[in-house]
Amino acid sequence: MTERSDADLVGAYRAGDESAATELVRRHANPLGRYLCGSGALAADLDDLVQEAFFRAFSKLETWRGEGSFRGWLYRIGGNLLKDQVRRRRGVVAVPFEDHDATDGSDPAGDVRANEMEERLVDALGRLPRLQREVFVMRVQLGLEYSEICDALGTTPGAARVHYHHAVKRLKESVQ
Amino acid sequence: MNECTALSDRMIEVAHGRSRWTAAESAHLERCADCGAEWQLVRATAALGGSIRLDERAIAESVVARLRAVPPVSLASRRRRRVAPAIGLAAAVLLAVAVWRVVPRSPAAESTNFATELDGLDADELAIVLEAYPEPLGAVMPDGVVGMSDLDPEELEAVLDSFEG
Repeated sequence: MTERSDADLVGAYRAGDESAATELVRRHANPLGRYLCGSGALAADLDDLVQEAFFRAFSKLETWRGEGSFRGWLYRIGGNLLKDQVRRRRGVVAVPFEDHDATDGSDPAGDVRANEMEERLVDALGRLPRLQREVFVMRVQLGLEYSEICDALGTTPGAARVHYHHAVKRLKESVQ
Repeated sequence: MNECTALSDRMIEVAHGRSRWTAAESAHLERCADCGAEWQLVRATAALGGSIRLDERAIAESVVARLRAVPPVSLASRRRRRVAPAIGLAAAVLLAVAVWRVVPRSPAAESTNFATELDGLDADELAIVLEAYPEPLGAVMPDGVVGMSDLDPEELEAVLDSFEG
């Protein structure tokens, strides 16, 4: 059975099918969480942020005119929620360092190098200008195409490419 | 598109396991320091957050429960919510017209189209604004009353003389 598209699920929810909303959450909750995490959300806040993003998206479905993808629109809502939270916390962007699954103890020296690299990367991401960070995270961590990134961030494909390349340049300088 | 740009675009698919490097691409990554460094960065970033596992079912249940608790918005109240900004704009337009008539303006200002905000309104909202708009002078006159445009030059001259006393 082919999977229903996001647009079909949105239409089904609008017609009163709650299971369509559940399916959309199942599909996008973790990717949205990874995007918010990469954009500076603390792990402890992810559940609430993701839940609130979905609630707002479904509550205001009449404002989504179907331009661009539902996913891009959802990420825009999530990104705005995170921005508001950062503003309330006086602009402190904490990019969380995570223990990586790749360290299994079989190569302690390698694990140390991997952890140090990850730590430098996380620190460097946190210091990027917001738009560069968000474009980079969406492109690399979530694998979004530039057209979807535009929907989420309200920019153009050309500008998104420029932000991406500037982010790569800065990160290379910081991490090497 | 040069080789480095093409490779940069491909890095995402490869990092996410949707594709693999060709022999030529692998060779380029070996010899091009810039591309090699970017690939390391992309690979490391793609792996970040991989340990995040949100409970999708619990989130879905909470979201649906909250949505059920929101009272349904009636059609009438939806229309009021759509129309209220238009009524506000109509009031602002009336005020602007009243000020416009009192304050002398240069010809350039006269031609300013202050109604550009109306462009964003739909048909219902526009109808509300236009209903509030005063009729242009001379457009509709009470029965039996002659408008200025109906006067011939001599009659018009006489009327203007009477204004000037």
